[in-house]
Amino acid sequence: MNNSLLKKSRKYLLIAILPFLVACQNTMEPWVKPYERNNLTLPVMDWALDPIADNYMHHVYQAREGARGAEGTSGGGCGCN
Amino acid sequence: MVVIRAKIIGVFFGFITTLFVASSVMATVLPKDRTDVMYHSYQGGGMSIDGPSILIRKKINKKISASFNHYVDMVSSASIDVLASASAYKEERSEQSLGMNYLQDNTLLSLGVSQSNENDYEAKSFNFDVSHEFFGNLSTLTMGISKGSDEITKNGNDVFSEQANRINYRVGLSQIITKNLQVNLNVEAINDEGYLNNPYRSYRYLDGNAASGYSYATEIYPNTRTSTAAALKHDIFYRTTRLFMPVQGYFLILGVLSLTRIAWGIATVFQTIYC
Repeated sequence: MNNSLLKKSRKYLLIAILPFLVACQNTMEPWVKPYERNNLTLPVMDWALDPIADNYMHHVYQAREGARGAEGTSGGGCGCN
Repeated sequence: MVVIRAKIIGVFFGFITTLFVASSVMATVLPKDRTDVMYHSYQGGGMSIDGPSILIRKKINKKISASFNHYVDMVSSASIDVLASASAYKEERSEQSLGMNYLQDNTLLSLGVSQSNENDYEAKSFNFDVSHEFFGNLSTLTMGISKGSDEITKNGNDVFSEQANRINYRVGLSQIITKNLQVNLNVEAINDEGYLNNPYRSYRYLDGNAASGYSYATEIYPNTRTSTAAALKHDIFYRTTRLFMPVQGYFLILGVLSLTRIAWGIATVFQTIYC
């Protein structure tokens, strides 16, 4: 009984201290090297690929559906009553 | 011999491309110069809205770029308000935005002002955003604030004049996960204060004192509204194949058959109102 409790405690203790062990190693490095990012730098992968079309869609969502915010662009007051 | 020469040239161009790409992703860059013209058109809910939009963005020097956007909504409406009590109308809204970006190492500062005008609504706002790349340029943290002030009037009523103020706080994190995948999380809190009603919207009720037996009254809305929105998006780069054509021993790339960005996101909006 005591042995099984001890085994369980060890397991939970290991799970509890694992994040601290990983953090203490401090070996985390950028894993995608600069020369591997050619696909990500293509215009098609730009978050704001079509800025005015994106702004228009955000405007439609705001005015028609009341869905606003977290669009990734700066918004302000718009006269849409 | 020709094949070897083609390989050497291919390796050379590959090396140059890698150098260019590596140099371009090693640091934060200003938004690209561009000139966009768009004409939009929307029909729905008894409304027809269309108009042009123009965006011009230009680098002034290596650290500063400026942008200008002109946007027009030409509205012709017979919406639910018209069916209830209002009259059909036509109006035009025009919006102008001016923005500046300043680049300093891995940090991009953005400042913008905008104003929107229509015959019964004027809105002015400014925004300030800071974007910083770190962790080997794999991570980008963005923080921003917008503040807007609206002046609401009512056609046919010269006395009516109300104010509404808005303030937005936003924070975002973009993370490159693999060489073909990046994710983006944005959270934004928006606070509106003031007259948040539609001045033309009213309800009809039975009124024994009126000769017609009914009267109209304006709806009563809360003066404060706070909403929080979150959006999680990801982009996956996906390329199917390239089209090649052999020309005198060289391979000429005709084009990419399918250069696709697969993107989807989940957005959740939380909204609270206080009366």
